Amino acid sequence: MSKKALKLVTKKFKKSIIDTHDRFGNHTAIVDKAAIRDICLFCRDDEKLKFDLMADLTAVDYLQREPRFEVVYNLYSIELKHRLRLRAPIAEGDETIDTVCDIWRAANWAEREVWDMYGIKFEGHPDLRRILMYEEFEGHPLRKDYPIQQSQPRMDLLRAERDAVEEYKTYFVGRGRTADSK
Amino acid sequence: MPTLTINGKEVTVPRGTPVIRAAAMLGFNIPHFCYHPALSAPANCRMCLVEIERARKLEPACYAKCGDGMVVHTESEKVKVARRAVLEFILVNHPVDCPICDQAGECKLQDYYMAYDAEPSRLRTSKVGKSKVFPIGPHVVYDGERCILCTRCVRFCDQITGTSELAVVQRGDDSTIGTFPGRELDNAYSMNVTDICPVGALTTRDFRFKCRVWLLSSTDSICTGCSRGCNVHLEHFQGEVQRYRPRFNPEVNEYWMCDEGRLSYKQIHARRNVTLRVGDKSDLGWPRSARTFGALAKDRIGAGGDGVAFVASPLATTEGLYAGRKYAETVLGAKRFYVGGRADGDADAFLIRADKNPNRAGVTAVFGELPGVDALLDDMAAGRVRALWLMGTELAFDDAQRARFTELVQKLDLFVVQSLHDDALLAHADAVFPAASHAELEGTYINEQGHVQQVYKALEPEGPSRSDAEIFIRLAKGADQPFAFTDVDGIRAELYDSGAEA
Amino acid sequence: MNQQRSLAALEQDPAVGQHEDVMVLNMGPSHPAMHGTVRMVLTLDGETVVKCDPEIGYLHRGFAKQCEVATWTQVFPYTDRLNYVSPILNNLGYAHAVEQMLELELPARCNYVRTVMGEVSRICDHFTAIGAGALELGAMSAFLYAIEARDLIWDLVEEVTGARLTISYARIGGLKYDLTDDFEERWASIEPRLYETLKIVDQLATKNRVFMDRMEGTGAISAEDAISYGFTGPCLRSAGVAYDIRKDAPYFAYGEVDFEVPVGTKGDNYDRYLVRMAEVEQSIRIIRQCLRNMPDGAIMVDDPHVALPEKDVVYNSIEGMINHFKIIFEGIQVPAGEIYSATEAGNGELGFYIVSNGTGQPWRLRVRPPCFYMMGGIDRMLEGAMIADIIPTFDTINMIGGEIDR
Repeated sequence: MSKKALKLVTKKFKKSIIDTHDRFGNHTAIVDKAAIRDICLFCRDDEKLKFDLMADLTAVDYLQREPRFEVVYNLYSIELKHRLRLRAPIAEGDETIDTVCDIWRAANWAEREVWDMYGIKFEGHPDLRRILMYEEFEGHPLRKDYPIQQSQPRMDLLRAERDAVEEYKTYFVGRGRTADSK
Repeated sequence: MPTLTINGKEVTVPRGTPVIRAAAMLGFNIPHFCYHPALSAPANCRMCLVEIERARKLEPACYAKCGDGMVVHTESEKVKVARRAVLEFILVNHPVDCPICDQAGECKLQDYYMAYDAEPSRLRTSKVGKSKVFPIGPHVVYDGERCILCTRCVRFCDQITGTSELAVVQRGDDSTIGTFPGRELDNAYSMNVTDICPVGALTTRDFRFKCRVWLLSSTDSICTGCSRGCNVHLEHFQGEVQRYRPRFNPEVNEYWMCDEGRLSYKQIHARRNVTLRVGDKSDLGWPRSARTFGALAKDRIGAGGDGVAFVASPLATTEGLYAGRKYAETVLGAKRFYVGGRADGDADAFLIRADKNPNRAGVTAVFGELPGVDALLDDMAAGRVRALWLMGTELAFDDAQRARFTELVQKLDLFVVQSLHDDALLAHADAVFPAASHAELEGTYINEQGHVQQVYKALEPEGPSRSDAEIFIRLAKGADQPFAFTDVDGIRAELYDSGAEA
Repeated sequence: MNQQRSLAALEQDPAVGQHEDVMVLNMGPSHPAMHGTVRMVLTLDGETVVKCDPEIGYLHRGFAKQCEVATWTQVFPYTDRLNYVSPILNNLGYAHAVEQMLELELPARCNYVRTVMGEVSRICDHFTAIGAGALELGAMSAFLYAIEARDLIWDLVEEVTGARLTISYARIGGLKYDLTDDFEERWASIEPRLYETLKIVDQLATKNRVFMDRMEGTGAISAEDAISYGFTGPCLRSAGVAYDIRKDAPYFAYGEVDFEVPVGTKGDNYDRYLVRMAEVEQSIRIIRQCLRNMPDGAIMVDDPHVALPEKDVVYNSIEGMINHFKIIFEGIQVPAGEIYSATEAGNGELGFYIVSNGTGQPWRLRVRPPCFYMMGGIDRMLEGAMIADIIPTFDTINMIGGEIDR
C-alpha cells in the first residue's frame, strides 16, 4: 500500500475525508461520496499517484450501522507499484453514488454487479442492469436482510413453453406413449 | 467512595465493591468460575487473580474490596501465568467429554482455555474418575468428573433457596458435590444450579442431548406460568422451543426462575388447537372464515344485548385483551364480561405466585374488575346467558362444575371458543378459532408488581393459529366493522393514548 | 426479452442506424464454443460484429453469500470451485489474505511447498487454456496432448492432496498435507513429458498457417485500454505491460526464485497464446528451483488458535479436545478489520477483499475475479471483428465460469 499516496489524497481533499487508517498495511481513506469523482480523477491523473488500474469496485452492507452501505474502490498503480483503498459510505434510503466508469472502464461491469447484488444506483452509468442474476429476479441478494434460503417466485412459462406442455399432455400422456399411461 | 485505577483507567465505586465489579464497570472482563454476583465470594477457583500494586501476592478480584488509591493490573505477565496455571490444574482431571457434554458451546472452561491458556496437556498418568450421570435430583444430573468444585451450586442452595441440600463431600482428590444420604436436590428452584454451573457438571434432564446450543436462536420472552412473569430467554431451533433460560431482571426475578415455569415451555407445542372452524366448515381459511362467522353471529344474536357474554383470558396479552374488548363491545354487542383463567395454586416467599395467570393485571387494566367463572356458571344456569365467547379453555372449575358447564354450553344460541390448546369443549362450539402462543406473537404482559413486560415473536404461528389481537382484527373486518388499527403498534397507540384505561 | 430490448436500443443507436440489415444473433449459453456457459448477444452486420453483449451469471452459486454463514476454514471448498482449473491458486490466495489479517508468520517449508503446488496448478490452468483454444479452432490433436499432460499433473496432485480437482489443500496458517516422500522422483518423471507436450503443441499449432491466420491480429487491445478495462495476468502482459504480482510484491517463496515474466507486444490472441506457452516453461523453472532448495520443517504454523491439534492429542487430552472443538464450531477468531490481498492466479490478479467483524465467520468475502474484467472488455476486443474471431478471443481470455460468476 502507500502512505505517501494516502497523505497526498488527504491533503488535497481535506474537507471530504471522513477518516483514514492503515491496518494490516492497507492504506485506506473513507471519503464523502459526493467527492468521489474528483478524488478518483485525481488518483488516476496525478503524477505522483498514477492509479491507472482499478483493481476492484465492490460494496459492503454493514446492516446495523449508520450509514448502512459502503462502496469500496481498490486502486493500484502499475508504474509506481502502490495501492490505495477508497471507501464511500452510503446511507440507507439514499443509495446512489456517481459512476466512475468513464474514469476506469473496468468500473462498468463492476458497478453493474454492485447494483445487482446491493441495489446501489450509479448516476451516469450508461447501462445499469443486472449482470449475474436474471432480470426478473426480485431483491438484491447480497444485502444482509436478504435471507439465504429465500426462494424466488416462479416465472410464468413463455408462450412457446406453454404450448409444448399442452402438446405433451394431449399427444403423449393421453395416447399411451409414456410410462405413466396405461 | 474509594477511587482506584484499573489498567490505567480511574473509577470511583461505593465502599465494599469487589475489584471484579469495578473492573466490569470499566469494561474489563476478569475471568472467574466461583464468583457470582448474587452469591457470596469464596475465592476458591483462583481464576480471578489480579495484580494489585504493593500487595505481596496476586489477589482474587472477587474477594478484594476496592481501596482508595489502589492500582490494579488485570493483564500483566504474572496474571497471565497465574491464569494458565489455574486452568492447567482444573483441566488435569477434566474428562474429555466435549462431544457428549450439553454445556459445549456455552462452557466457561472452553472459552477461558482458548482465551487465556491454549497450552497442551502435561499429564502423563490417568485422570481421577468419579461418578458420572448421577441423578442428584428429579430434574438435575450431576457429573463428578466435570465438576471443578466451585461450590456455586452449594451456595445457591444455602443462600438463595435456603434448603441446603448440596455440600462438598469427601476430601482432597475424591471431593465431589453430594447430598445427605436419602435426600435429593428437589427444591422448587433446583434447575437454576444448571444455569450457574460454569461447566457441564450439573445439567438438566429435560434438556439432556436435546439440542446443541450454537444451533439455538434466543428470543427475549416472559414465562407464562404465574403472575410473577419471570424474564426468560426463549431458545428455539427450527421452529420448536427447546428450553427456557432465565434472563436477568433485578426487579422481577434477578437471575432465577422456578422449575415449573422453566418446564412450562412445553405448553407452547403440546396439545395445540389448530382447528379453524365456523359451523361445520374447517377448510375456509381466515378471510372466508371471518366473513362466514360475521354472518353467523348476526344471524344468531343480531345486535347483541344482555344475553351475550364474553370471558376474557388472563393468559392473553394486554393488546389481545384490548382488541377483544373492542370486538366484544362493538361487534358482538356483549354486555356481560367475566374473567377466566387457571385456578390458584401454591405460592412461596420467593418467586412462585399463587395466581397462575400471567396477565390478570392486564385484564384489570383493560376491563376493570370482572366477576369470575363461578358467576358465569350461575348466570348460565339461570338462563341469563344465550351466547358465549370463551377466550381460552383454562377455567377454574372443579370436575362437577366443568361437567355442568359442558351441559349448559350446548343449550346456547352461539358458543365460540378461541383457544391455544385442544379441549373437549371445542367439539360443542359453533365456531373454533385457534390462538397463537406467546412465543408466536409480540405483546405485553403486566405482572403482579405492575411491570409491563414485553414478549417478542420467536416462531411463526402453528398452522392457522393467530395471535388474539389478530383474530379480533380479522373478525371485526369480516363483520364489516373494521377497527382503526391493524396491528400491535396500532393497538398500542390507542391503548396508551387513551391513558384512562390503565 | 433480452433480444427485443437490444433491438429497441439498436433502433435508437445512431451508429447502427446506418446499417440496413443488422441481425441480432444469440450465441450460447448452450454452445460448444461457449465453454463455461456464457451467452453472447451479437449484433451482426453480415459477418462483422457490430456489438457484442455478453450475458454471464449462469454459474452464479452465491459464493459470497454462502461464505457469510460459513467459518473461515469452511470457505476453502468454495474457493476450490472458483477457478476450478487451478484450484490450489484460489485456496492459496484466500489463505494468504486471512493470514495477513491474523499477522501470522508461516514456516519456510510451508512457503516453498505452496509455491511448488501453486505453480503445478498454474501449469494445469495454462495447458487447459492452450488446449481448449486449439480445440476450438479445430486443432484437436493439440488439445489431446495438452489434456494428457494435465492428467499427469492431476495424478501428481492427487498423490499429494488426495483429490484431482476440488482439493481444499490450503489451510489458514499452512497446508493440509506435506509433499509426498517421493514427490521429487515423481516430478522428475513428469517434467520431461510436460516439456515434450509443450514442444508437440508448439509444433502443431504455433507456426501452423491456419492457426496463425485465425489468432494473429484478432482480438487485439492496446495496453492503455487493457489497463483501463482492468485486465491483469497473461491478457495484460500480452499487451506489453509487465505486471506480475509475483515479481512486483513477492509472497510465499517467489522472492527467492529466479524466473522471467513473458511479455507480448500486440495484445492479440496470438500473443496471449504465446505468453501462456512461455509461462508454462517459467513455472517448471520455479518448481525445479524450489525443489532443489526446499527447507525442512513444519507445513503448518505453530499457533493453537489457528492450527488444529493432532488427532491423538484431540482424543486423549481435554486441552486438545477443547482446542479442536472451539476452532471447528466457532471458527478461527480473526481480528476485526478489512484487507485487500492479491495474488497472481492463472488468469491474473486474484484479489480477496475481506471484512471481518472479529468472529469466526467472515462478514464480507469479495473475490476479485480476474476474468470478469476481461469479459467486460471483450466488446472492445471484438470491435470490427468477424464471427470467427469471437472463438479464439473468447478462448484466450480463459474465462472460467466458476470464477466469473462465483
